Amino acid sequence: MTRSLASKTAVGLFLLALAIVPLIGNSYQTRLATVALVYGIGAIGLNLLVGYGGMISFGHAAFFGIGGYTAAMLGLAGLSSVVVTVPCALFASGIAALGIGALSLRMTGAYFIMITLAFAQMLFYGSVAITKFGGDEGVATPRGHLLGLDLHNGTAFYYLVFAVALSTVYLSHRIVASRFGRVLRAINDNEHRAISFGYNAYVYKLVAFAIAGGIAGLGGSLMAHLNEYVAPSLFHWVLSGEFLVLVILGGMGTVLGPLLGAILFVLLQEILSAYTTYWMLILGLILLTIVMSSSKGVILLLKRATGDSRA
Amino acid sequence: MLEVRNVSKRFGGLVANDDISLSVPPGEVHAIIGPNGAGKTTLISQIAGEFAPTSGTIAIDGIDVTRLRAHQRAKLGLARCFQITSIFPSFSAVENVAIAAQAKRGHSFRFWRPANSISEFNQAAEDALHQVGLGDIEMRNAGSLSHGEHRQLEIAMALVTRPKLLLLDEPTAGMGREESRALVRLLKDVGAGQTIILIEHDIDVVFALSDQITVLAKGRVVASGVPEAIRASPAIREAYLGEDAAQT
Repeated sequence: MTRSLASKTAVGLFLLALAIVPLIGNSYQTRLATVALVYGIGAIGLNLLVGYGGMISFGHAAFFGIGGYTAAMLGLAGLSSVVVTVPCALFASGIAALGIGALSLRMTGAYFIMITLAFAQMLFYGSVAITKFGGDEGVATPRGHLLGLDLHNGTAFYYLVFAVALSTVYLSHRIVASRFGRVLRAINDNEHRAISFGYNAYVYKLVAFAIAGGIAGLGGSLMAHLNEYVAPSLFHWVLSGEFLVLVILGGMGTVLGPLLGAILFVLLQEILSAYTTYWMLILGLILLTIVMSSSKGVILLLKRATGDSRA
Repeated sequence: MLEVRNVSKRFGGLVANDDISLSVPPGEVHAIIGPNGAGKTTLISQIAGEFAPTSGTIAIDGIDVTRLRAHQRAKLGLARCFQITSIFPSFSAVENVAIAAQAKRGHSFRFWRPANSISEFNQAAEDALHQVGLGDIEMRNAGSLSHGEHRQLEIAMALVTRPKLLLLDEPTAGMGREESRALVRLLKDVGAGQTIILIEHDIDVVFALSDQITVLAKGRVVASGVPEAIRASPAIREAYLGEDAAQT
């Protein structure tokens, strides 16, 4: 892929800004940035589905929640090393997504949206019912450590999340450009035609769904460690909706869009909620403006501003 | 190469195809003609595997494919150009063809190497585009091409898979006379030795390209034979060719 120098510079500056957050910000701002990146990681998974695969999942929180609860369960069992909990969460969410996807992907359009929502809500009520993990009150879990490094240090935790976020962005970039990604994009573009070439669209979509679920689980486990706490709200449909907002805000079908969307979302929430409790209304208007002016969100607006011809 | 035996298709009470049989040897261009509603598209959809026949069997290259799904038949070497342009509009022309080539090289559960860096697919795609006369627009976005170019692109997408059997569903539909003539030249050129099932309304195109013609009416085969025989048959002239033959 060739990019104009201006947009390369913009990407570089964006990543540089993220890299120095703990150096220039106070501990509160660092925590805010950590939260944004963790949501951003979850949204990267959803972007594979919505932005590249044309699958509008309204149940993405299901896998974020499974990741969070997996990390919490391991933490309660005395395993608080993120080297263990994060990969386990990724794996557990990926497997769950394989199962839920296998059933959901038999539906298309609005039915697909509804069934993914239904599965996530089922898990939400399930987690409320499990008293071992605190029922609707949730349960505390350790902050964890990384190979002996204590993650109670906010800066250390931030750089862990930053590294995971960058790796996930790079991973999604590779997947999108790969042969698998090309087939996924082709199915999104013209499913009928892709099938006529011999591609089993259902299986390709299912694998994408499992990868997206795994990535969400990755984010969820980091959220559990960050908050030292998990609760059923991790599964809630409001969170599923917010993931969609992040993807649309940043620019669906763009590799960096979800991270950008998550940062904007957290920033807007932080800034606007200081002025008014109705900050969601303003966010809604901003979202509306973005959707009506470009399907690729803020990224495309930035590309236009930097004169990228591909925009 | 293709054996269709006693195939019938009923949609509820409606009989779309009734006891159709045809046999296409390798390298033959076999046209299926008939008035609207004769069951041509139903037949080609059954050959492609979009839906199963109510009764009868279909074999490709000696393999019974009656119960196979469309994507499984594609793997066996069946390629289809659709009546309505069916491409990947957001892909470049070359990527449209490359993904067809990719389909022939096993599964695509490969997640790391960028697809557009694989020279084998790019080369095959570029060759096919040159073959159909689109060599100079390979990087253009497929969605922005003209109708005639879409048709050429579709043929490149089919040819790159080196299909055993190529289904062409009204390739000249919506084309002007000049574009249509150019397409006939192209098909003659690239179609040498290629087994083709052709559905086409334009009788000139049919007679220019086909080795054998099967005439359908009301879901049944009413005649089958070489073009000269079909042209000469008074019953056919009356039933179907009459108007079209008079126009030309």
